[in-house]
Amino acid sequence: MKHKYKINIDPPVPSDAQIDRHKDFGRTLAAYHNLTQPIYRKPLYKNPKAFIGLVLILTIAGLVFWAVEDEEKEKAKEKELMELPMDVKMAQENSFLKAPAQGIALQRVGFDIVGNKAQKITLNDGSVLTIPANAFELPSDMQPENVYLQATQAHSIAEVIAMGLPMQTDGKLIDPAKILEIKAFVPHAIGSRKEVTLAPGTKITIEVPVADNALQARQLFTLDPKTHVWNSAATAPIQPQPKRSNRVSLDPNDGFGVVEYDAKGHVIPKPKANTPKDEQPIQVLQFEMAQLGIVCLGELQGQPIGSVTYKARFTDPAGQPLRLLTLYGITKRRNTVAFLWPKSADFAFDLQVAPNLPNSYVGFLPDGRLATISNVGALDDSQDVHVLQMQVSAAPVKDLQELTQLIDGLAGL
Amino acid sequence: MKSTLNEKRMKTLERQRLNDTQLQQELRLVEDAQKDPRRFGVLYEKYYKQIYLFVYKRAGEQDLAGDITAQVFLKAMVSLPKYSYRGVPFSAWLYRIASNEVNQHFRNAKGDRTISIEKTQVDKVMGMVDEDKASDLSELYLEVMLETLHEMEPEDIELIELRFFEDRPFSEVGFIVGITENNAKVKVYRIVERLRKRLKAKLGGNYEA
Repeated sequence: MKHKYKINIDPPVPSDAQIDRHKDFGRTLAAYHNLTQPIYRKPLYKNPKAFIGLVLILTIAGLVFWAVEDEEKEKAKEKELMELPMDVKMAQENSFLKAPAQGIALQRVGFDIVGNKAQKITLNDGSVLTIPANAFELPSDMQPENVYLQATQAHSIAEVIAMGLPMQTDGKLIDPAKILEIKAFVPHAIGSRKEVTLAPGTKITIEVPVADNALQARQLFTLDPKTHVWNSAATAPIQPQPKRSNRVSLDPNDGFGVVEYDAKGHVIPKPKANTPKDEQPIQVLQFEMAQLGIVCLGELQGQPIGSVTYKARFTDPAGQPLRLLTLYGITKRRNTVAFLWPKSADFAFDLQVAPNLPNSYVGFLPDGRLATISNVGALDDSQDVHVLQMQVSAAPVKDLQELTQLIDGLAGL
Repeated sequence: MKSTLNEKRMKTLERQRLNDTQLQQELRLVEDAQKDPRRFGVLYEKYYKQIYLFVYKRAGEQDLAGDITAQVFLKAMVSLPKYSYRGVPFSAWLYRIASNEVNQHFRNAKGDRTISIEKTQVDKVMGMVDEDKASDLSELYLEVMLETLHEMEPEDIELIELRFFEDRPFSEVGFIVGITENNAKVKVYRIVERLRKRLKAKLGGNYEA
C-alpha cells in the first residue's frame, strides 16, 4: 500500500534568526498560567475587573429578577381574580362546601343516653326518635351508658347553607321540608369524643309531624357521606300517623329532651300539660334510619337544572369582578338552594335555577361578607357574558341569625 | 559552504551526549522547574532550537513548526510535575512530546506528513545497505529510498528518521516512539532488509513491486 508523504530533499535549514522569531518563553508561560490558574483561583479583591464585572452581573440579574417578580405579582393578582384557591377547588370536587364565616353554624342538640336501653327522644319540633336497646356498635372497653347522641336540624335556606349541603340530585333540586342529621359519640380521650355507628341490623325510627297537604309529594333522601350525593330512599316506610298532637314545646315538663325509664327500659310518659281545646291532630310521617348520618324529607322540583348554560360575571357596585368562594341560586317561593361553583370571575353554569321565576343569587367573599343580587329575570341568549352587579354587605356575616335575615330580606323571597 | 541539516544534527548530537555531571545538572534544572514554572525558561532556551528543527523536518513549514513547538513546550510545562528520569536524557522526553504533537496535528488536519531527507544521509544509509558497495549509485539509492518510504507505515518512517537521519541511539528511538529498545532494533533491521531486497532487485533488474 502506498502512503502519501510530502518528501523534501535537502530542505533549507531555517537560520537562527528565523527560529528565534518563534521563540517566546513569556507567551508560553502566560499560556501555562491561563491553563493551570483560572481566573476564579485568584481572590476577587486582587482582580478589580472581575470584581466589578461580577457586581455588574449581579446588579443586572437582580434588576431582571425584580422586574420579572413584579410582573409575576401582577399576573398573580389577575389570576387570583380569575381563579379560586386550591382548597375551594377541592371542595368543589367534593361538591360539598361550608360557608366561609365561622359563626354561621347550626345549633346542635345533644343527649346523654344509655346505650343498652331502648329509649325515645323528643326534639324541639316535635319529632320523636325511637332508639332500640344496644343500637350502637361500641368499642369493647366502653361502658354502654356513655353514649352521646347529637341531632341537628335544618329547615330554611340559610340553615341549608350553614350545613353546606348540596341540594341537587339527578339534575333536579330538592325542596327540603326537613333535614335531620343524627350522630352518636362515645368518650375517646380527655376533651374529645369518638363517633360510633349503628350496630348491624339496627334501625332508628323517626316520627316527624308534617302538614296534611305535603304527604304525597314528600320523599326521603339519604346523603352518601363519601360522595355527598343524595340517594332517594323511596323504599323506606313513610306512613301517616294521625291523631298526634302538633304541640311543640321546649319546656322540659312537656317531655322535651328529658327521658325517664322504668325498670324494663321503657319510657315513663310525662304527664301532659293542659292541652288547648282547639288543638287539632296533624299527620305524622314515620321512617327508619339504617345508618347514622343525614336524611332529608323533601320534594323533588320538576324543572331540571343545568339545562341552559350561561356565562356570568358577578361584580361589585363599582363594576369590579368579585371573587366568590361560594354561590347559591335561590328561587322565589321555593325553600331550596342551588349550589353553583364559581371557578373564576367569568364562569359558566345554569343561571336560571327556575326559568319561569325570578332568581336571586347569594355568594360569600373570602372575608365572609355576603354578596347578593335579586330578581334576575330571563337572560338574553345573544350576550356572551352576563354582567350581574351584586350588593355587598358592609361587614362579614357574623352568625346564622344575620344570614337568615339577609336572605329573607332579598326581594322576591 | 551551505550548512546542511545533517551538519546541524551532528552538532546537536554532540551536545546531547551528556556525561554524568551534565546529567546531574540537567536533572537539577528539571527539579527547579518542577518547583517554579518560571525556571523552565532555562530548559526552554536550551532545547528550543533542536525541538524546533525536529518539528520543522516533519512539518515542512516554519510557521507551523513554530506553532507546534510552542505547543510542545506548553505541554511539557503542564506535564513536568509528573516527569521522572528513566535512563534517557530530558531532551528525549521533549522529543517524545514533539513526535506526538506532530502526529496529532496531521491526524487533525488530515494533511500529508513531510519527510525531510538529505542526499548525503541517503547515500550513507544505502551504502550500509548495499553489500556490493557499488560506486556512483547515488541516484539509484535515492530512487530506492523514495520508493521504499512511500510504502512504509508512518510508524516505520518515524524509526527511519530517528535512527538513520538523526542518528539516535536505539534506547532513545525506543523511548520516543514508545516501544522497547529491542523492539526498535528488530523493526529497524526489518526495514534495512526491505531496502536491501529492493536495491538488489533494482540492480538485478527483476524487482517487482
